[in-house]
Order: sequence, then structure tokens, then C-alpha cells
Amino acid sequence: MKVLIITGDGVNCELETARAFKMAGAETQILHVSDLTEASLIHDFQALALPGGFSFGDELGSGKVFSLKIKNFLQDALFDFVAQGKPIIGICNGFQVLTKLGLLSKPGEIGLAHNEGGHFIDQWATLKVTDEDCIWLKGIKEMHLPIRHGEGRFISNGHTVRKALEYLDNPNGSDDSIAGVTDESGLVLGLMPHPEAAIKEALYPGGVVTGSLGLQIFKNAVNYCKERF
Amino acid sequence: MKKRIEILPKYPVNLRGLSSALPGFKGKIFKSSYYLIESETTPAWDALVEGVIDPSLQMLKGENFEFSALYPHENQPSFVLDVQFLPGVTDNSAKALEEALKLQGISAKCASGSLYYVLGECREEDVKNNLAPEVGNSLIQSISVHSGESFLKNDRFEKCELPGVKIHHDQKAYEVSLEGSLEELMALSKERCLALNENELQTIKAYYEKEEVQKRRLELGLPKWPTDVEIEVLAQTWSEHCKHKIFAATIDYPDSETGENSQIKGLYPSFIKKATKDIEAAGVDWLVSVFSDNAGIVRFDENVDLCIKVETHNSPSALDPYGGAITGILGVNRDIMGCGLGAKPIANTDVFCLGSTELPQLIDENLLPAGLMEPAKLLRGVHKGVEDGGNKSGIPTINGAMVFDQDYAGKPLVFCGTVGLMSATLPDGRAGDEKGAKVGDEIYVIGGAVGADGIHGATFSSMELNEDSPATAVQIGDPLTQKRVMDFLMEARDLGLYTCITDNGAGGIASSIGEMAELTGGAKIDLNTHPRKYPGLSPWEIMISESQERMTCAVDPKHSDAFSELAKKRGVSAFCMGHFSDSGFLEVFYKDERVALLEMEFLHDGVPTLELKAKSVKNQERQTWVTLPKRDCLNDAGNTLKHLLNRENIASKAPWVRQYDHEVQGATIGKPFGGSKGISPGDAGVIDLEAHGGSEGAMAAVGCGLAPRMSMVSARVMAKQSVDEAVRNIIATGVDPKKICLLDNFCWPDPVQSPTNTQGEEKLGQLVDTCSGLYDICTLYKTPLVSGKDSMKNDFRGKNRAGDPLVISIQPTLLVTSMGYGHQDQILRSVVEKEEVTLYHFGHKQLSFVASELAEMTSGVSLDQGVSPHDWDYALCKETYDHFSKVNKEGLIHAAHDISDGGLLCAVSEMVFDHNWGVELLGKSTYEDFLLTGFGEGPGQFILAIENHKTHEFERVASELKVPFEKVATINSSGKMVGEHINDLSVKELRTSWQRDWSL
Repeated sequence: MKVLIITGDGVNCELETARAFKMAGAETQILHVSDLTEASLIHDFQALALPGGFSFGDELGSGKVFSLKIKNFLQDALFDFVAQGKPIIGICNGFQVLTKLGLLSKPGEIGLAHNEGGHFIDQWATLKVTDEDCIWLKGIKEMHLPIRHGEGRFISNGHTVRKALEYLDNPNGSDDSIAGVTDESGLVLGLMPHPEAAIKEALYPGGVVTGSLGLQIFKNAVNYCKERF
Repeated sequence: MKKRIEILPKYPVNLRGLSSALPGFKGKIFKSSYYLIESETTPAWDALVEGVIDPSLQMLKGENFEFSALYPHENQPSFVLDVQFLPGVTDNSAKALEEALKLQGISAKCASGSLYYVLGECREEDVKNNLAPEVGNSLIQSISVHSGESFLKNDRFEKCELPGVKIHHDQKAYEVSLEGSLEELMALSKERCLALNENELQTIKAYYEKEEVQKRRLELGLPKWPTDVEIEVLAQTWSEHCKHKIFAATIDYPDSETGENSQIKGLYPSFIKKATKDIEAAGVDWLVSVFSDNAGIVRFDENVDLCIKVETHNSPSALDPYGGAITGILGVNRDIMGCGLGAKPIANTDVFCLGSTELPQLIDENLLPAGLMEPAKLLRGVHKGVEDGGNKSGIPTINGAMVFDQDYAGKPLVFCGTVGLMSATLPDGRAGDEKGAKVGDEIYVIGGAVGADGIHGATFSSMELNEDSPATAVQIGDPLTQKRVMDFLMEARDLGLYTCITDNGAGGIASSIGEMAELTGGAKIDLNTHPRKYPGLSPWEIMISESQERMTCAVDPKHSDAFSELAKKRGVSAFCMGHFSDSGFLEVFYKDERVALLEMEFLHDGVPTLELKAKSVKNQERQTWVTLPKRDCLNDAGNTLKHLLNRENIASKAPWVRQYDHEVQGATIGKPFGGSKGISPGDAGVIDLEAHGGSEGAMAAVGCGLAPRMSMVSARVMAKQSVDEAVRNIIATGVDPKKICLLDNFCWPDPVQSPTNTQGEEKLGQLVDTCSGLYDICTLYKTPLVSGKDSMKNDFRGKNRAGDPLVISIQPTLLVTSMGYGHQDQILRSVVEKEEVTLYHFGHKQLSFVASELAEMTSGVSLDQGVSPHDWDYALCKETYDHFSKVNKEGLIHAAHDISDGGLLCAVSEMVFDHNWGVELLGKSTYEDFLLTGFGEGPGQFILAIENHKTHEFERVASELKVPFEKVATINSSGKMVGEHINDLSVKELRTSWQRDWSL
């Protein structure tokens, strides 16, 4: 079971994302987006992650230019990837990229705007899982994860989405308190909180875990893939 | 073809910070952005839509639009502010748009700007006077104010002009004659911003007059006197910023106590270096590289090495706080990237010293320094700079401090530090700390082009601030470019593609290539190979420009193709400027013309030693430019505590700190607010080293200490107290007292006596005392100094707003940064998480009100009470730390917090804020003694929280160790603090006071 983690151009959570998948029992490979010139490369992998960070410094809107770069040669391959039943996760900046690629909803329908508070926030948020059919969230009811973003306010523009995760006390003014959404298949998860920064007790504030460990998200995908591929 | 596009948010967010700048304003201010695009062909509209906006969030306009059609629920704008970068200033948004268009096959040149729409009624003068200075800095941006109506109808979409730098300096080097009198030479130094003193100018003159030098120059077709390239390189290399001349100076110092006249041959070798050498000789065996590289390198762990460096960026931050701070943090990151064969930044630490943000309310505004930014604005700017610099680079900001004092109102101090991770051995077997440039290696500069920005940074920072300070010293950083450079370098390092590396900081390539050339004994470069942001720069400008994000590498010619190819693939600019040689000279060409021939020995060792005089000072009355009003609240201890907790120096900095990403890289286990609820403050940042490849369970903690107000009492005690606080901070997180290293960063008021600086000798006396105190405490604690830096002219000489002359000098400030190592089994946090807990005072009670927060806040404080700081015994503190560690290893400590600003009661309060516990204070004493115990400050003390079922064992172990301890409180669920002299104080109310409203 091998996971592809895409990095480059300002993405910065690739190492801890790889660490989380490894801890969950997967093999991982981190590839620079410029090295992904052959779309077929991604089919050697059973799962794919777009980690957090500040691709292109968030200029022109978070995830905007990075999604353009991916779009050029990888977009179709990503849809194929999901069609083959393989899971994709986009965390924070990766979530922002996923919305722009149209992997969660039609392009232009949903987006992530500047936080209502007007600035970046780093704090831990309590989250409720609202869609356990998403393969990443099986068996998880509640989690405590860090959010670290300036543009995390979920905007639905009135479109119906599959809400996967919900904030207990909406810290950024998201529509319907949405912290994460999944696609129709339940294979693609986009979320603002960082489960890869909550993979062991010591990383939790005060060293106290409440709810499921963030690691469980990665374990779910690894187990799912191991059963199928 | 030129085109203007505007991007408007679908859901405009009110910028509250800006709205509050307008008195009485009830409306809304939001921001949109615009771009000016110049390309061969007009980009198709679809491509622009696709390229620049997210239609779920934004709207794109390429021609005049009806505001009310876009925003039917908003008021019409009363004003629109247009902010655009001045020509040549780094424009990160424009660069991103150029890349976005390129991805769609469109090659274009872009510029960006911002529009601020003011919706609602307000007065034009308020917008111009209050709002305009908040949306931009006129040193680097043009800011114009328009009425909403006229702006929306104007012809901006038709008349679209990209800003461009138009300079036409000759692309030649000129001779700078040193003929003439000393006065004329000094005038030259001032005019060219060289910051060379008389002796230095004469040394240079004498060198160029030497027969052999003249002969050599004649043969090579060089003029008799230095070229402008040469004199500028000499000035940068010899600047105080680069050469630390004051720390190398010979100082005559009559000791006031002994009356003995001592001569100090360099503070650095006599105290700083000596401390570390003596500690090493006494058995500390984990120092890898401490005096030679960009940063200190230590081997705490068997798998990975750590390096650490702290820099200051005071002068640039005073002019443009955002740009100064972001280039400060990115700059120190580059120090780490250029340490050894390259290290990976894993944590940042940032300390700001600023004037009180309350100054404009506390004193007559006419007394404030004219022409300087108010502290609140400076704070917002430097904070944002550090936020963007750290967050966008993916480096967690794990530690820091903010110190407020009126004497920083003339010059803010901005310290930026970074911890780096190195492998002891690289994949190809080379030692990670080895720097191995060889003769014949090619000189590659990577990262980007140069402009006129950042010229004279090194010499400028070696001068005091005045109203003519050069704006070219101001720059903006580009974190994306630097992140790419960093990722590229890590890859290239592991592939063995370069042999040596260093950063480009002060002095630009003049310093980086000049320093690396010392390894081989020379270098030969052509300045024309260096890309420029715009045409028209002179050779000397290319040579010393401090344009950001650049690193210099030595590349073996056999790897140069691979190096260049990888750079290209990673979107990093890399170009070869020449090669290293053993000629003994730094040879510089521009195209075919030789523009500089600098003898390596003269360049690096030719600077004459300064000879200075120092005067001893002790127990001075505070001499400050303004006296702040004090409260009178000492008769009510509860009220005193509430007010203390609200003070800027003590209050929670959470609203600021939570805008820094402190957890990226997934290894921050000791957080700025460390309890399960994330409210109570931690003592230090702690990193999980195992996550970074360190041994199982390894951790590293970073703390800091500074005690500037103690300088006027005794500079020696100030040094000791700074070290003690830094050490105490990380001891409280559970590190091993035998594995702690320190960094010293001195920021001083001008210590060189002159007709305009009449107290120079006293300031120098304080510097000597500080160094001597630092030596004593470091050798006592066995904590070696592994890196340091100094910044020497932190004075403001100008006028106040009423036009009267005003001098503001900072308090002599030593920032000590500590880094320690330990095991995660022993990690401690500073929060009481359980009710069944007893609080103990731990350590020797050495307390005083001298230089305390209490004495600053309220009148009626007795400075004679307690133990005088002159008598504080730090050997007792050292014992306490060793015992602390032993008690902790027994697993007896539930939580620990050091007693620092505000004293014991502030510390106890902070420990219980997470859960709003009740606190029953124990013990009986007189009111005076209670005040001293509760609010006194001193070294080496902690509050320990011990679970009730372990108190017996704790007391037994502590008694055996003979370390003083005293039960001070029990915890309960009442939410009240009660005691003999405190009556039913609501902890929630205390917390509210501590969670100060910072909305500045």
C-alpha cells in the first residue's frame, strides 16, 4: 500500500503527512509537483495526499496557482484515480486545491474564503464527524485537531455538499460550520484541520487526547486500500 | 498590450483593525486587489478568469462597473484608497500572477495593487490622516485617496501604466579619490553612507599609497585610489555590523570598586569566547562548531545535530516594520540554511522590544518622538512580518517574548531566531558541518536578481536613526522564493552537488563571496553575470545590494550541470559568477573591465582595532526621556494582582501568538499555550526531535530571557538575570541541566564617546560589566555560548512633536536564548490539569522589588525590602536546577511554572487559568511580607504543582536534596482565590484582566 504525497512551490506539510501515513502502516513517496510530468505516475499509488502549506504564498488566493499547475497535466488522471476507487485527501492548502480542481463539487461552486476574523489562526478545534460513509472517517465520532489557516471559511454559495466534518464552535465563520467535505463517492476528503499534526498524545495541548486520534483518519484509508488493492 | 483587471471579493470582510482607525466610523472597510498586465498579446478573458480568480469567492472586472450591482446589500463607497508598490519594490502577488499566466502559455509582466473601499460616512481628513498611513508605508508604496464616486467613474481601466524603475547609473566603476584632508574624507564617508571612522579611512588611504600596491594596480590598469566597488566592499566588510569592532576593541576600564585600571583586549575573546572555551575544558563535550560558522552547532543527540542563531533587525524594522521583520526572519532562516553544508529550519523564535502601546494615552502627545511610528503600529507591522515570514516558510514559531518599555520608543528591537536540524553525516559520507570550498570550484549565487533595494543595509544599521535614514535600506521579503530555495538546497545537499554554502545577508555578495573566498584564498567574479531586476545599476550597487532570498554556493565544476538543472526544475534562479582561487585577491570584473582587486588579507584583517575608554556605573537613577504616571493600589493585594496581570509585559499575548503557526512540521509538543484548554502560557517551546529523526523520545526546548530594566541597577546582574531566566524557562519544561547552550544578542545604546554622545563611556562600562557578568554566570551554570550578535547604535537623535530636541537611548539589552535537550518522559507543562493538587514554592527565596513590574506599576513600593539584586546568589539557583531535574526524574511533578515578571501570584494565576480553579493561599505573614512573597522578583524559583498523593514523597525527596520548598496553595473547584490578605478574588475576573484587549 503506497501513498503519493505531492509537494513543491510552497507546500510545507509533506513530511508530517508522510509520517502520519507511515505510522498508519503505509509506504509513502513525496514527489515535487514539477516531477509529476507523466500523469501515469500516479497510478502506481493506491492513495494520494495534497498536504497543507502556502503554495505560491497564497497569492491570488490560497491554492489557486498550484491548482492551475496540477490542472494542466494531472486533472484527468486524478478523476481516473477516484474512478478506480482510490482515496484522495486534501488538508488545508490541499483542501483549497481540491475545491478548485472540482474534485469535491463542480468547479466554482464551493470555496474557502478569508476567515471572518480577518487573520490567520492557530488553535485546536473540536470537530464532529457528520458523514461516517466517507472512507477516511469510518468509526470516528469526534476529534480534537489543530486548525492553522487564514483562508478557511467554507463558502457553499447555496450548493448542497456532503458535509464530512463540522466545527463545534465555528472559529472562522464557515457556512454551516463546515470543516471538511467529501465527494459523492466518499473517497475524496477535503478538510481544513490538520490530522497529521495530531498523530500522538504528546502533540495534543496538555498532552491530553479527546475523541479519536488524528492518526485514525490515515489508518482508515490504509485499511481501506489494503482490503481492496 | 496593457490591461488592468480588478478582483473583488464576493463576500467582503470588514477589516476591523482599519475601521477602528477612523474616529466614530460605523461602516465597513474591505479590500480588493488589482493587477496591471503587460504582454505581447492580449490574454483572452477566459484565460484571465481561469488564471486569476476562484469564481466561488471572487469577481473579475476589466472595465468600469456599477458598485451597487456587485454589492446590492452594501452602502456606496464614500472613499477608495489605492495602494501600489513604488517601482522596484518586491511585488509577490505580481510574481504569482506572472507564473499563473505562464502556466497558460501567456508571457507577461505584471504589477499589483490594492484598493480599500470605505463604505459609510467619514471625513476626508480622517481618511487621509488616520486611514491612509494604516494601509501602506509611503517609503515603499504610493497611497492615494479618492472619493468613491469619482474613483468608480474614472478612466483607470483605459489608462494603465506599469510602474518601472528608471535609473541610468553608469555601468562603470569610478575612482574614489582619497586625496584631501581628514574632514573631506569624513564628508565622503558620510555622503556615501560608508560609516567608516577617521582611523579606518586613514588606514585605507595608507594602504593605497603603498608602493607595491600602486605598482600592482598600475600594471593591471586600475586607478591609484580605490574604485567605488572597492571602497564600498571595504566599508561593508569593515562595518560594525559585519566586523563587530566594538567587541574587538581595546578598552581602558577603571574599576570603580577596586580603583584598578584594567585594559581589556577585546570583549569577545576575553569574556564570550573564553566562557565557552573554559566550559569546554571543564568537560562539556557536545559542541561541534561554535566560533566559525553562521550559527552555533551542538550535538545533544546521537542521530541529529542542532544549530541555532538569533539576529536583530532593528533599523529596517523602525522604517518599515513589516518589511524589516519579514526580512529579519527570512534572513536568519538563511543563516541556518547556510550553516555547515546546510541545515533545515525547524523552529523560529521572535522577541520584540517596543515602546508601550499606551504611550500616546499616557503622556502628552507632543512629547513623542517626531517622525517615528507609534509603538502600536510598529507592533502590528513587525508581528505581521514575522507571521508571514514564518507561516509561509512552514517553520513553526515556538517561542518568543514582547517587552514594553518607554526607552524602546526611539528604536524598536526585533530579534529573530531559528533552530536548524543537521545530519552529523550526509548521504555521501561528508560531515554535515564541513565547509569545503576548493580552488576551482564555481561560485553560484541562487535565489534571484538584485535591485537598488537593500543597498547599505550593513553600514546603515551601524549608524543611529535620523530623519534622513536611507529608504533603500528597506525591503520586503518573498517567502515563496525562499521556500523554493530552501527545498532545492536540501535536495542538492543530499545529492552532494555543492561543496560549500553561505547566506547573503548584510553586504550581499561582497560579504558572502568575500567570506567564502577566505577558505581558498581568493575568488574571481564577473558582476555582469548577476541578474538584475531592472537595467541601470552600477557595478558597486550589484556588488553590495542586499536583495533578499539569495544564497551563495561553491560547486565543483563536474556537478555544475546537475546543480543548474535541478535549480531550473525547482523554479530557482541559479547562475555562475566565477570561481574560487588561491590568488590572495578578490578579483571583480564587470564584463571585461577589472573593477576591483582587493587583497584578501587587507580586506579581512586590515581593519584597525578600536581603542575605547569605559567608565563604571552602578545604581544609577533611571535617566529616561519621559516619566510615566503610576497607580496607587498597593493597599489592596487583590486589586494589585488584577492590575499587574493586565500589564503589557505580563498580559496574555495569545491574540498575537495565535496568528503564528506554531505547530507546522508536526513536532511542537510544548506549545506557547500549553494546557489542555490552550489558555495558560508555557515557559518555553518544545520540539519533538524524534519526529525529525532524533533518537527515541528526544526533545529540544527553546526559551529566552532578558532583564533590560536591571541595567541601571547593575549591568552585571542584568546579564546574570537574563541568563537565569532563559535557563529557568527551559528547566521548567524538563530538560537536562547538563545539556543547555545559550546565545547572546546585545543591543546597546551607542557606547562610543563623542561630542554628540556624551555618555558613551558609561554605556561602554555597562557593556564591559555585562560581558563580565555573562562570563561568570555561564561558567557557573556550565552553559556555553554558542552564537551571538550585537547591534550597537540603538539611539534616536531628533526632535519631539513639539519641535524640541529629543534623544532616546534604549536600556542596554542582552537577549539570552536558551536551547536544551531532554527526554519526552520528563516533559512538563505549566498548567494545573487536576483538582487534587498542591502548589509549592521551589528554590531559594531571593526576592526584591528592584526593577520589578510592581515597582513600575504602582507607587509606594519599598525597594529596600528583600534581598538586594547585588546579593543574589546564583550558585544557589544552579543547585535548584540540578535538584529540580532529580525530582522530575522521580515523576513527582505534575506541572511547573517559573516565577518571573509579576512574581509568584502572577505565576500561580497563570497556572490555574486553563481550568479556572480555585486557589487557597496558605501561610500567615505580615502584609509587607505577603507583598514581597507574592509580587517580588528574583532568580531561580518555581511553582511546582504536586498531586496530593505524591506530596509526601515529594517533600521527602526535596528534603533529602536540601532544596528549599514551601507549600503555598491548594487547588479547589471554587473558582476563587482566597488567602490571609486576599479576599474572595474571582479567578475568572483575573483571567479577563490578563486576557487584555489588544485590539490596537
